[in-house]
Order: sequence, then structure tokens, then C-alpha cells
Amino acid sequence: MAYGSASSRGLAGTTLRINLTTGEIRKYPTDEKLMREWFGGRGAIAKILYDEVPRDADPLGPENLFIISAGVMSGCFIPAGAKIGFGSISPLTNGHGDSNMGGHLGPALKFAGYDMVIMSGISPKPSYLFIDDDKVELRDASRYWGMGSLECEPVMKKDLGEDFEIATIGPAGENGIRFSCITHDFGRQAGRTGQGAVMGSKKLKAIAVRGTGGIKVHDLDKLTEHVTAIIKRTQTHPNMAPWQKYGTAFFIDWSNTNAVLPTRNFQTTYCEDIAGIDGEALVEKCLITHKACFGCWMNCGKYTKAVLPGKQTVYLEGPEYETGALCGSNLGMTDINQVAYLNWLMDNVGMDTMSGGGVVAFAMECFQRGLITTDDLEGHTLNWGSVEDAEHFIDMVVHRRGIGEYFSGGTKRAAEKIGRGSERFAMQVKGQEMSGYDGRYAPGMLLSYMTCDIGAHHNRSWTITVDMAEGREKVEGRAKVVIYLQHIRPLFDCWCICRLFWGELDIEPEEIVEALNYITGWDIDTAEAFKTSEKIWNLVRCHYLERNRANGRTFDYPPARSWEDKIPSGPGAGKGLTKEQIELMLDEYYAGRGWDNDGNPSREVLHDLALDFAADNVEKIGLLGKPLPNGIPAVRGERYKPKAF
Amino acid sequence: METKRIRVSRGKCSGCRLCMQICAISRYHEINPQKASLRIEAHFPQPGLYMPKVCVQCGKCMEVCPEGAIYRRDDGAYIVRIEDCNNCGECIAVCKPGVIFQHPDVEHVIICDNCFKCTELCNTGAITIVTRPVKEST
Repeated sequence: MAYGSASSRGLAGTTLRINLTTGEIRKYPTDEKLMREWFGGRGAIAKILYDEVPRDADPLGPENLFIISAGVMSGCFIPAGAKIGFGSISPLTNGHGDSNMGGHLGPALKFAGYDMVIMSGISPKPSYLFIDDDKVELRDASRYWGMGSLECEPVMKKDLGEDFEIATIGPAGENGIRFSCITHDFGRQAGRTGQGAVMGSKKLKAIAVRGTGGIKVHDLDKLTEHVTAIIKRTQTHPNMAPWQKYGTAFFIDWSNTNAVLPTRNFQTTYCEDIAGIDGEALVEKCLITHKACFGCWMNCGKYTKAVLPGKQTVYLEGPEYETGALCGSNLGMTDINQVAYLNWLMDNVGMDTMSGGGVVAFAMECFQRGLITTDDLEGHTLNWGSVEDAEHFIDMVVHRRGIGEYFSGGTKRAAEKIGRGSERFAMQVKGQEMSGYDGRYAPGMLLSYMTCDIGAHHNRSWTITVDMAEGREKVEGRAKVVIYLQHIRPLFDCWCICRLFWGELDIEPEEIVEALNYITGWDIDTAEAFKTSEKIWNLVRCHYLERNRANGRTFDYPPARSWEDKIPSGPGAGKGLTKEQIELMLDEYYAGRGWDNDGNPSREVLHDLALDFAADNVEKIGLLGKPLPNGIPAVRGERYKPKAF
Repeated sequence: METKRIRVSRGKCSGCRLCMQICAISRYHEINPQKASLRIEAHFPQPGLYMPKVCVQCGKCMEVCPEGAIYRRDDGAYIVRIEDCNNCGECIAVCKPGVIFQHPDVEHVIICDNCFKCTELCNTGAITIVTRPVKEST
């Protein structure tokens, strides 16, 4: 039977703490106060990392924690309540890192009785975490070590049972490649911030969970009525059919038309061969079946196969939008089967297709410019549009051979090694590679990357429709929308539900909070939810400053391409930003958050968010924001309803 | 007179398991898919197919029940008379689609009772209701 506590609502009831060095496994009642005040998921992860990881701990060393949190809504009867969050100090950014994925693992963990698993230390040998309701063990993973992520999952299912939910890392994670991901359900990934590398550093190959228990909620009747009404109402929403048919790949063509599609390492924003790699090509040439996460009626996942001459036929989930952009147009690919093959390749070796796409694109541009040559590439070329070249280069990176070692730490570290001006087109912020949108003609999007708390990532704020609505060459006023989005979007990562239905199907934040209250018995409103999210954001900022020891503004700049190069082709030709405009956006952003102009949070704001302990800590290292002459802004972020994801 | 049962359209299911969630909520007032009376079989990595497994109303369970605890209702459903079921599981052994279940919290076997809540939430058309007229015996 599941181990959960009967008194908790929305929670499974138990938290596991595991010392991987000694093998000790302890069970604790889940800290309900922590869940209430930090909302579980990303929020609880942020607080635990802040409290428990020494500031000088190596992200790939024993002192870093690896935390799994299923939040308060995952597994509950809520649309797309399928997420699970992973968190640790990121080996890519050296700050708080969290990443989440859908599928079925989060619900399974809660059905087994656990809200969180907090792991420390390093296992003396390859191991995997086995959870079968109340049976929790660290088991020997020697026979799985070295297997590709996608290859390992069916083997483990065969060994343990089809009804186990499995998450694995691949050779990239095992070898400490800093942008490694965690893979589950044959193609769902927690891709960002290098969580797979942290698992690998801890010699943790996989997590296998089976749960047969239930989850108690505060008011199941009201929850059922509320959620059933939402599902039925949105079944006929005009966005539902295209979403079900194409998933996020629908937006490849849209981004190209609207001059934001990164092409050949963000050199331009327009791909001439878009018909070969867009959503239509995916459905026509590769689709096997639509694939949904637990409890989601939008089924955006596309299970596909890639058939390329001279290559084995491979099965994968995707490419979704980000992979389609970053491993498609951004690598100069012209055929969806090429993109899907690279998607499979990166999934199987266990590297994030977003950072991975960014790293390969950066290397290809280095090759284009003669900064690396065939001598560096074991006699191979690295040309745009070549799967062969990309595959060989990825193999060098995964096994850290030769110049592959430079790139194993991501584009920022590679550019530091290669030098000769390559830093200006290393498309990253804080060490994490940009998502699949170019921000030069969408300034709010660029600001989103610059200020994202985990390094460049679209997940926290996506503003392109705002940019389009308010004038794409105008930078004034973007900050307040970015701040709002940085508050609402991470809430989904706290609660461990998917956010896509919010933007796509006109489901209001109030409806989600209503469901949250039915699940938990809390009595919160959206204002409190946003404020809690702001608290998490500020804590993560303080944590970043405490670990990296310089004014926040120092870390918030994009690579110089963002202001030095105008877009050379396509519908955005000639458009671009100036450095002054980028500085202005930062000025507005800091003022809007109640931070000083150096990008450091002020005591006034930290006190308002009950973060006095963090204010004390940043003050000790001289990075507390200066007092605000006009006090803290009354409204931090302006509410905005997105038109797309 | 007509009977109703769930029809499965092969290849349409996307594996979300909303059907299993609402089934367990509806019958056992609990979020626990393991208490549902249908299952989604996932066939991955190849061929890549979700297959809903539902009651086909073959009646084998009723035939083998040593307690006579299962009867056929007019709408076609096979209903467990819970006060008579001793949870022996003999019906499970003969159920071809494998959709009779036991759960440690439930004292009787779990068989679909034709409430069709599952079909209401299915957004891909993978499971729908099929109605068939019953021939009157002359």
C-alpha cells in the first residue's frame, strides 16, 4: 500500500531523504508549511536549495542536492496535472536550477505516496532509485550504465514491469556534459539547466516508480464538477484541433513568418526551406501516434519515426517546437527526418535538444568562420544542414574527445576557450543556451531571456505576441509584461501542472486557483499566488548573487550579436536593437521589480516578500540593492493575457 | 430494447488516462486510476500505440462466478452484486481483455458498470458509446 499520510490534502504525505553516499533512506511527513508557503515543485526546490546547499558547493559534487518534487496538483484530477520538477544547483549556470517534464512520473510518485525526494551525496556505484509504493530501495544499475536513455527505458520496464514509470539519463549525463537532460516515457524530457548531469554526477542512472494508492483532495465533488466543466468547455475551442494535430510544431511556420525563427545559429530569423521542417511536414512524414501526458486532453506530444538513408530507423517523441527550431532551422536542416533523427540522437545520448541544438549551431558557426577546422574535428567537417557532421560532433562532445571537451560545458564555456570573438555569437545568457526565438525583432523576448532566473529560457516569459501587439521596434513598457509573465508562468512549475492550456484554451488563472483550493483546502486568490511566485523569483535571484558574487546586472546581458547585428534576411530584414535599448529595458525591468539599477534586490522588496533572511545574506556580501528613493513599486508586473504559448 | 457498451477506435487513443481518473472518481470517490474498470495499454517504443482495454460484455465472468455474484443488466453491463462477491478472482482469469481488477482497498472485483463517464471526457474519440438493439425472442 502507498505510504501517504491520510491527513494531507493534495499531497501524498511523505518526503524521502536519501543519502546516496551511505545508501541511507529516510521517510518524513511532507512539510505542509513548506508546501503552503512555497507551493511545492519549483518553489519548494528553490527554498531547500537556498537553505541547504553550501554557496561554494560544486554543482557536480556531493554537496549539491538533487531534488524531485511532484508539487501539490500533479496527479490530481486537473487538466495536464502531470508534471514533475527536478532541481539542483545548475552545472550550466552555477545558480538555482529547476526543470520539469510531463508524462506520468509525477502522478506515479504521488500515487506511491511521495511528494518529494531529496538526494545528497554520490553513490559509490551506478544505482537507480526503485520505488514500489512503500518499498524504496537504491538498486545496482551497473547493467544499465552506458545505455542510451531511450534504449534503457524498455529494458528496465522489461525487468521491472510495464506499469513502472521510468526516468533515465544517457551517456551525456553519465559523462558530466553540463546540458544533459532526464528522459521519461519514451521522449519526455526535463531538459534545461543540466539536471541530467547532476544525476550522472551522483551515479544515479534512473528512477523507477510504481504507485497504487490514491490522492486525497479537499473537495473532490467540487473539483470534479469544476474540472469536468473546463474540459468539456474547451473540447470545442478553436485552438484545440490544431493543437491536437500538430502540437507545438504548429508554431515553426508561424515563427518563420513572424521573423523570430533562429536560423543558422541566430544569424538570421528566416528559414527558406521551412516547408521541409514545419508542423505539416512532421505530421505528413513522421507521425505515428498522438501522445498525451497524464490527464491532458490536448495531446500535444507527437510520437514519430525518422527514416534517413543510411541510418537506422528510429522512434522518438517530437520534434516539438523548440527542437524543431534549434535542431532544425538553427542547424540549417531542410528535412523533417533530419530534425527527427537529431532529436532522437540527442534524446538517446541524454542531452537537452535546446542547449544541444544551440551548442551544435555555435560550433557550426565557428566552423563556418574558420575558428575550428577539420583538424579539430578528427578530419570531419561541420557544415550547416549535415546530419553526418552533427552526429560526429555530438559523439565528440558526449565522450569529451578533443575539442568536444570545450563544448561539453555549453556555448559560454566553449566560447571562453575558443575566443577570437566567438563570444559575440555564443547565444546564451548566464551559461544556458537560448530557446527557439530570436529576440532582435521581439525585444520583450530578449528581455525575457536576459532576466530569466535559470539562464536564457522561454518558459518563464514568452512575449512575442505582446511585442507584435505593442510595436516590435519599441522597447519601452516591455519590462512590466515580462515581470507579470515571470510571476504567472513559474506558478505552473510550482504546482506541477502544464501551462500550455492556460494560454491556448482561454482558461483563466482564477479557474486554476479555484481548482488548487478544491485540491488543497487552501483559501488563496491569484494575488497571493502571484506574490508567492515573486517571492520565489527574488529568492532565486539572491541565491544567484550569493553564488556568483557580482552585481546582478553583470549577468543579465545577452551576447553582442543581439545588438551588433541587424537581421539580414526575411520579413525582419534590417531590424535589430541597439545597446542603449537593451540598457533601457534592464533599467525599466529593475525599477519594475523594485531592484536597484545594478540589478540587486532592495531590502524593501525582500522585506515585503518575507525574505529578510535573504536580504541579510546578500547584504553580507555587499550585494543588497540600494534603498529605493520612491519606495517599492505598488504593482510589480502588469497583468497580460497571452495570445499564444 | 437496446444495449450499450464502450467501443474502441484503434489508433485514436493518446494515453492521457482521463478515462481512468474519472472512472475511479465516479465509482470510488477517489483519485486513483488503479481503481478504474478500464486500462490503457501502451505499446512503446514500437509500434507506438495506445490501446484502451474495456469490457466487451462477453459474459464469461458471469459464467464462471462460483457465488453467482455477477448478473447481466438490461443495458448489457455485467454487474457485481458486491454483497455476494468474495473477491476470489476466478472471473479475472477468464476475462479476455483483462479488465476485471482487484485493489487492496476494495473488497470485491471491479468491473465496468456502463456509466460512460469515461467516454464523456475522451477528447480523441478513442472510446465512444455503441448502442445495439436487442432482438426480441419470439
